[in-house]
Amino acid sequence: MKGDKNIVWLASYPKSGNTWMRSFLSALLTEKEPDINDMSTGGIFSGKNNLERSLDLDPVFLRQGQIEKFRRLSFSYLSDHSDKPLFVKIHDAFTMSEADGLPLVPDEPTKMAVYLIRNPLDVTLSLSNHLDKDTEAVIEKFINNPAGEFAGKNTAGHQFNQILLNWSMHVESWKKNPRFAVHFVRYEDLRFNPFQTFRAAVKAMGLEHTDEQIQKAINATAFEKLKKKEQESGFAENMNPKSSFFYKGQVGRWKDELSPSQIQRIKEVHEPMMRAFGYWE
Amino acid sequence: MPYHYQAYGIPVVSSMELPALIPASDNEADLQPIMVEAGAVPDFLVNAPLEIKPFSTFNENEFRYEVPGVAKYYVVDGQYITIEILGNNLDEILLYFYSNCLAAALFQRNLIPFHVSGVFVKENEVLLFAAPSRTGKSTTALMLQHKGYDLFTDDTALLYVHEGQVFAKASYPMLRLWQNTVEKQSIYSDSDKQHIYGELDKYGFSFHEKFTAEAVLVKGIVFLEERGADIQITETGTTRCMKLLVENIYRGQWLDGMKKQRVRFENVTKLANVLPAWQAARPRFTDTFDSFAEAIDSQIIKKV
Repeated sequence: MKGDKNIVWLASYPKSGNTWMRSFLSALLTEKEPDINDMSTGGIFSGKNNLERSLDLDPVFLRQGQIEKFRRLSFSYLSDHSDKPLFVKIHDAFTMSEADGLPLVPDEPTKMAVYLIRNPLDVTLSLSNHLDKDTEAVIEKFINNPAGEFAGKNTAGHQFNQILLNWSMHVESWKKNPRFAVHFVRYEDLRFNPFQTFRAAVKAMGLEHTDEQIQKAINATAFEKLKKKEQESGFAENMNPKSSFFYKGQVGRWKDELSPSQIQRIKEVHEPMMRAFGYWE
Repeated sequence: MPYHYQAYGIPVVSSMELPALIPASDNEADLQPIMVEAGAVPDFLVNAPLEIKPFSTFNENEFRYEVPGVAKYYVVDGQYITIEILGNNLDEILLYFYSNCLAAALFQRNLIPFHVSGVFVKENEVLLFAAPSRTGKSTTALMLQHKGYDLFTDDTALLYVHEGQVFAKASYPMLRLWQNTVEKQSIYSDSDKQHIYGELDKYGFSFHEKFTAEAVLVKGIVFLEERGADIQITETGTTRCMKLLVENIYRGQWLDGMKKQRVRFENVTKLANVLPAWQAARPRFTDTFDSFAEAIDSQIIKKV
């Protein structure tokens, strides 16, 4: 309802099932097959278009401190003027603004967050395909890099820079810092136990849908179906023209495709968090 | 002594220097000028607001805009613009004047600016490129300048139909490019670039000498899109053209709150009925601007 806290953040490190969750929600809310290029959710936190539309300005001219302050205003405005929940994708780690010490993600319009987590060993391979970078570069620049970030500060792109930190720090930031509820969902559970896992997420979001509706939305957004849609009509979020966004979606690919040294380096940095989420084997 | 300028073909008389605008003599235009002055901006509109947004408040004849720490702006009756300075960076303060205040004044005069860049394809004849921000309007126009077509406008222009033909008036002679684009081009000299401000790696270039303030004939409009894996150019029918024109009205999100639905409908319908239009798509994450410009040149410009 207008004036309520309407935003549900769909938070994740990149390539951890965020688009899958948004597709599922789009199918659930519309009771239709989702259009992957026009999902009925609420955009992305780092998108410049939200700021442009709600504040009537060209976001490229804003300084970093202005971006951080103004973006809170923008999402509060969007939430206030929406008569339904907004499911907003976010890859940013949950950090504080250097300009005013407040969280980048505003509390005021937030209902709750769903955090999607995936084994960092598989994330490495999926991110490597997404960015068209070799796995070594992905480990050094992203997975193990405490200063990891997406997009860059001075770009003409559609998104603002996103602070990722390293994989564990990203998870930790969403576990420790928010003052609102965060429901954690493992990608692997979505794959192997989809009905129970999606249903628990739907309940945590406060949505009221029947088991049949949930199952129907799961069926409409099976990985192979989304991949087929991308093959047929393309996907605007695919950054790698040589490959596809919905690439393999498998669990445990790392066992065959990462070298022992790569596995060891990732495990060394992320052991506590991998243990905490059942990824230590 | 006030400064005299033109923007979108309309005289602007200002107590403040407005360096992005084209200077004009004080008696050449017969249109009612837009008067600009520094002064106190009211906290509220005189009449009831029809839309209240975080920075903008407006109704049919009044528009108030405030960027915290930068400036407050008040535009009334398409004629008077007041700027109350809060910050200390004049370039930053004027950015919102050039964009929002001028657009609001045009809407108040029942004129519609579009989000377009454009190049001259012949003397006094232009081809326009319409697209939302960050879809490549400036870069497409820049690549065509490498092919010998002069720049008409970088970001916005006023469009209207007169005696069955579409005419455009350019906003003002300033284009803005990211540093990485500046490095890839040879039209504008590195020594002419003006740092916009702050941490931004984006630069302004004036093209006052080449600027045409008069109305020019529009030979067509190309709607730019980022889509698919290949460059694709198709002709656009009238209905689709109407929809795309509406989507590319500059600050078109204000029109309902300004009660300009009828003006929008009439303007867009007239334009779409006579304006040759194309959709041109290029891949989103691959740099294809050279071949994109080549395709536009061979498939559109050579034929209009």
